[in-house]
Amino acid sequence: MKHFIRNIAIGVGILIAFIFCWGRFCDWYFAETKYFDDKTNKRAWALKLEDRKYDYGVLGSSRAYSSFDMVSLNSLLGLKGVNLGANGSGYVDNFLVLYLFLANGNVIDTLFLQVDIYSLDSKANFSNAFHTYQFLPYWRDSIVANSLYPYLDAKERLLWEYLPDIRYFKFNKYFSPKEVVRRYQFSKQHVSGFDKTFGGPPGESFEEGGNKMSADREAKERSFDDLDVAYLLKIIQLCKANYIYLVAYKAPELSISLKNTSNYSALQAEIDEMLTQRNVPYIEFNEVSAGDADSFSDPTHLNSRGREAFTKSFSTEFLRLKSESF
Amino acid sequence: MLFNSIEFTIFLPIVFFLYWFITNNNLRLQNLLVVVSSFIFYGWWDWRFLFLLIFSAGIDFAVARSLGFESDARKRKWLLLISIIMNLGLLGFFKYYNFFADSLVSAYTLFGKRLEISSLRVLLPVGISFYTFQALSYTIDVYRRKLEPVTDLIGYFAFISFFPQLVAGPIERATHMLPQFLVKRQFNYAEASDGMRLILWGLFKKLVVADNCAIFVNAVFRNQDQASGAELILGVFFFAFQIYGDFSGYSDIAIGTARLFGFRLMVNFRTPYFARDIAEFWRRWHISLTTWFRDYVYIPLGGSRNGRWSAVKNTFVVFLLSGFWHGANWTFIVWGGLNALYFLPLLLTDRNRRNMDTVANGRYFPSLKELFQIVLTFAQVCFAWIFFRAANVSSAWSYIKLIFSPGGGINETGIGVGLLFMGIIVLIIFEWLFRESEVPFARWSNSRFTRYTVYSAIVILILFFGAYVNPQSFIYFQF
Repeated sequence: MKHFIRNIAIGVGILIAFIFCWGRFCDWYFAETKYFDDKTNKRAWALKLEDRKYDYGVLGSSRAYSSFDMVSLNSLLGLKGVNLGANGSGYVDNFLVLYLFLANGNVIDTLFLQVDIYSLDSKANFSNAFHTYQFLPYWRDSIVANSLYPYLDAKERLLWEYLPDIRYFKFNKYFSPKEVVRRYQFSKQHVSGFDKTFGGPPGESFEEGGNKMSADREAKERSFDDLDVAYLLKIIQLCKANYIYLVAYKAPELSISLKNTSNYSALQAEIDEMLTQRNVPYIEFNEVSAGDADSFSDPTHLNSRGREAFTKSFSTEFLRLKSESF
Repeated sequence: MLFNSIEFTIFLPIVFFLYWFITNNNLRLQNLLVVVSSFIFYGWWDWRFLFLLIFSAGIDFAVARSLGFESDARKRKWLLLISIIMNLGLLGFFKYYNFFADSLVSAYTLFGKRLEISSLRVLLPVGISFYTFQALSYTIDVYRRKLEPVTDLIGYFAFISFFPQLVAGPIERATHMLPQFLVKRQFNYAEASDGMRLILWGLFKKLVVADNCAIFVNAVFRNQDQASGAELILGVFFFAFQIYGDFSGYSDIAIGTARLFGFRLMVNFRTPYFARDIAEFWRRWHISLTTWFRDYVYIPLGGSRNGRWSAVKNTFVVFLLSGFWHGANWTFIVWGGLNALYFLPLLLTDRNRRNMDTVANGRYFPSLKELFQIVLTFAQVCFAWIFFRAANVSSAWSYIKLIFSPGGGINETGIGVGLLFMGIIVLIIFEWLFRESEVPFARWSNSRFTRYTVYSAIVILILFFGAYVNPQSFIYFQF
């Protein structure tokens, strides 16, 4: 028995040591901006930026990511902006991207935050509302860890508390030796597509589709998720703490999409009230966009045609706002 | 509680410590610990069904005791009947009520009549098919006087509820397992080490092979209308390895865990995908269920004693029952029937006991003929798996038709096919190397360095390639 217990103890000891070493390696390697994820991963691109100064930034879900032609917008405004929006991002995700972006020494003067009823109930509306694995290398920062906790069950929280390095093995697809090699090889290319588009979508994104949503679909009553609301408020606080002028906005969507929410007006009024109370201006861009189906890849996302039109409308609105408020 | 869960990782060492260090000097206390820990293990899923387990096991205990006292043949038959009706009644109610009700309603509709029977929202108790069959083996063996009824209630409950095999087998026989609970167990280093090897290999099969295959398989079967022929073929190929990795992995962990406590459970799988014909496959797949049906259904029905046609009839009965045992769905019955049809030519030509030895016995590689036979048998098995996995019979037919429709390659299913093949190749290599031994890696190499290098490699594969994001329950829990 003694012999057996000793062997098991040695085996478990070696296993824990291995997990610890791999965890520490991942903490360093995967947070190292040089070895960021890859050109197709928007969130990771945003997290690799450091010590940059931007006049304005855009943050939000895919509706924020897909709405702007950042190159045109920068040239129309004569300013330098960055798009931090990413597909399937709820507000917890948005908060962490902004928090880590600022922690990397980046500065933004004005932030345009996409706020709508879909992002405020991200778990119900996005297939993957929070990308836990993207933030694992920053777990030792208590703000990051606390933001991740709601997405873990109690057992997992306990395990990660006492054996934090095990977290990389849950998401082993993203933190494997193969991924280490791939990122190393990618780091030698140095250029990401997002560097050229300032975080905007590459030309071919959000093109196919058209009007996929049926007009006669039964209208659904929606509500807000407490976690999304809490983290929206955290973003507002974070902006205040970092002297960022925050403007909330709602990207255009087809009228057919509005009809799919039975309590749409009530929810929008709630958003208005929430933001007004906190002195955050809120611009609804529905009227600004042409609003025809040809401008959308689906009822809530603009295609390149819509993006071009919206970018122009947005620049006008930005300049108006700037002349009035800044 | 799943074997691949955090709870079990904590639960197992605690029970092991209490078992060998606190209760080892008192057999009754040790058995009581087995009962309590088994109840915790089972109750972790849903404690209410513990009462069902206690109720049915209690009745069987009382029936067996009465059988021990009773010498009148008629009364003994009645007693056995009580046990059978009670066990199969509970199983039928929880597992088959809705199936029979729905089938009856459909049958009436066929004749243009309307019948209203309300479906019940009955939750299926995990492992009910397994422990019911195990309990039945006890009363039947006592009835047949193969076994004396036990007087030790705690020992009996420990046998019925023994947590490693309670929810998904192997379905143990009372004659083999019960006596092990009635004698003092001794810790045996070699047995415990074998247990750890089995647990390690079982975890590899489950986490690296089965759970990764499940991602691909679920995506293909869920969207079979959009899948290409190549994807559909891969879907069923990976399902064959998913179900094998899942179920044999569970059995390995169960057998390994039992060995840590000094118990020997029966082998449930012997490299079935290396079988050279379907009869050999069934001697190697889910052995505890196959032999249960052989001993308690096939042989009592007359087996092959009453001529060839009787053997054919009994074979069909056993395969159809075996299919039905898996679940209340026509797909399982078709699956059972299909296997019976595969079996038929072997039975009629007296070739069903042709391949009794292990393939390529004493050789490194199979002959070309053996390889061809293995591939052919595997293809037959895969074809039947389509029915097993499909939601209903019409989906299965449509799946088969779509395989032969033109066009398409491999679309994105959320997992790289290369990873799945890597896991399967490692599985096949080790299963081939250890096809003649009960325990993988056991007494394989005298070099400690080689052994530990292989163990470490398996651990690393489990860590880096196991599927952990959406943990899959064991497939056989639903049966």
